[in-house]
Amino acid sequence: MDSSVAAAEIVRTLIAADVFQLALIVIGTWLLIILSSRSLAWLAKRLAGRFRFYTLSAIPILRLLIILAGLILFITSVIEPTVENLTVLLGLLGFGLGFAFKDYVSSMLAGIVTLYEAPYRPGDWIEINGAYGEVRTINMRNAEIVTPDDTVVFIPHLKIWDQLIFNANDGSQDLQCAADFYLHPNHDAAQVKQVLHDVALTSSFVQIEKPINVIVQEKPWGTHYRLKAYPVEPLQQFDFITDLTIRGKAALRNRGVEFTTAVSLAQRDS
Amino acid sequence: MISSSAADKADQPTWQYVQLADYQLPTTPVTYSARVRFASFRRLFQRDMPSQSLPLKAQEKLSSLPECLLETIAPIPDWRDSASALNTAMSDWLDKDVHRAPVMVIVGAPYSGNSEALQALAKMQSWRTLDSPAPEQILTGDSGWLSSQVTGAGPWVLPNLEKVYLRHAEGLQLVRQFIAHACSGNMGKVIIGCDSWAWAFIQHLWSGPTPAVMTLQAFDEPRLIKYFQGLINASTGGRLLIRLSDDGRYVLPLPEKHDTGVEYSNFLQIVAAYSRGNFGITRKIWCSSMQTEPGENQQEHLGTEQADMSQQTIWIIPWNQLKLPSLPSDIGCNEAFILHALLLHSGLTQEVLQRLLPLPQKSVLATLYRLKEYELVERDNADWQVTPLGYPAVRQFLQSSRYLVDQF
Repeated sequence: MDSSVAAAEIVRTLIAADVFQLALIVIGTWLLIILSSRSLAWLAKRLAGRFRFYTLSAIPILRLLIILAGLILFITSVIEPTVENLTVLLGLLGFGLGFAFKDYVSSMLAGIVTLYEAPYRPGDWIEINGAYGEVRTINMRNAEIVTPDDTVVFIPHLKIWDQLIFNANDGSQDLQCAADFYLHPNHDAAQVKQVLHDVALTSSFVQIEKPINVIVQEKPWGTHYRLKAYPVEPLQQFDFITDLTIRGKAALRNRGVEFTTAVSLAQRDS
Repeated sequence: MISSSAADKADQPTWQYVQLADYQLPTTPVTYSARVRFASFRRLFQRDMPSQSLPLKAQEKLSSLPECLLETIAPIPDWRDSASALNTAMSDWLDKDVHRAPVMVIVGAPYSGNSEALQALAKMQSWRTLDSPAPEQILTGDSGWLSSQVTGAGPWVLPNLEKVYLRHAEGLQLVRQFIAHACSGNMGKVIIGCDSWAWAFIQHLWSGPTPAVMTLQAFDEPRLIKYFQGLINASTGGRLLIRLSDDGRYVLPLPEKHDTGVEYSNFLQIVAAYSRGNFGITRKIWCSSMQTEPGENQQEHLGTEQADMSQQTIWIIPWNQLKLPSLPSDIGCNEAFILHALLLHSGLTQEVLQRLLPLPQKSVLATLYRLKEYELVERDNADWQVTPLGYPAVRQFLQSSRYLVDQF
């Protein structure tokens, strides 16, 4: 049987297929996807720690499995699943979709790759093309992230082919934060380093079992301190940095350490 | 029969101090572990108040024991017993040269009587105790607090190291100075008592030599049976029966002549596991679980030697019906911050709490009163503290939320 005859045969079979049954499969698959996504998302909200991550990660995998199962049911309902039939069907689909939905299909394929390579998972804090936020959902075609300003950004999966993806916590709950302090160079650096370390150690947000580091760099305009530590929850990262900054400034002021500013430099130059 | 492990360990001392590494948590019965997991799963689907908080119909026929009776059969321990055990455990250290081992730290979980035992020991041995500094002295790093007290040679006893620091950027200097001074040997021998939560935190801020550390061994089932049975024997001549209110199984062993064919409950094993061997919490649970039938006044009988005590029974509420505080399902980081701070400092005043936490004053107060409604915190004079009955649930919550917890 040549390919044109096979294609005509498949089209005839499609027309003759039980439309009601096919509709049931499509609706059933769709309902299952909605139900599983919502129930797992609801459950994840009530879980803490690593269990939250595991539950969120299960959503796209479960969705893929449901889609695959639905697809197999659909195909076997309309045609006899022989090698010839499947080859022709995939050929037809590939030809049609290849032109019309190239990027769409590319994103869907990339979506499958993301499940395997896991460059980001639900619950991760990622930055792609300048958009930073928490991955809320991984759909078949795109990932939804929520920025700190509560804006949802849809990122097509095809970005993984050629873009840099910055993942701050990579599937864990350990997300490093850094608070910056810019000080006038005339001070006791060892004392300031200790003070900033204590500021992080005494923060209510800090994950104390993780390391606290203070990086000191001398710059032409002063001394740059970078206080690095981990919050208990990645969601608290902005509150944590704010807390470190407020209490760090207060502790440094108490010790008479001067902060450097653009104005003071300008005054000094003049 | 009572559990074999309980019988095997009947000879072990009630109060025993051990090296920190030798501390052993009581074993958890499998049925209890499964029940805990099921309860935590069920909690996911609860909206607000857990059903545990509702009054239980089965308990309506029973009433709590009067305070005076509780003080007779489950009194606050005589801390001198604990102090004697501590003194024995420290004898080798006391014999050592002061410059080789100047400091001994006694770490104890909250409510375990650590501070009380150290104070009793200091009194027994006529050692001088050091008072804790005021919060303002801590925040200003006022070393005069120590120099004004330390005159002459040791041994010195500081019962509450947790009251020498505050989790504030300015609140760590004094405790570092104190530990460094004590470890130098210049004060003579120093015995430091420290709450286990504070000790967990202090280990992150102290990088000098680690002093010797001891702790009170956990109260497992055999120890609890021995202790509570001893108290009942002493107060009633052993004629008080302790049984579960649902199926009548015995909680404490009967005299050997009546012991044949009697079924025992593992209630105390569960209590020991739940409280992680913490004596103070176990005692609180024990007291709150004891019930009596109205009209049956044991106190009168206790005071009458001629009275026949053989029929007197105290009914214990079964573990699964015991009403213990639990955390609200919508607990957030404000609650976690407050509970954690209270445990790290072994209680704080509202004013100090506000200085330590990144929360507005209104929020701190509202959260404290919300936690009080759930019986998770209480006010003891000016200090807010986590309640002994609420402590196990709070500890579990903080641990699952990845906060620093103690090792007990």
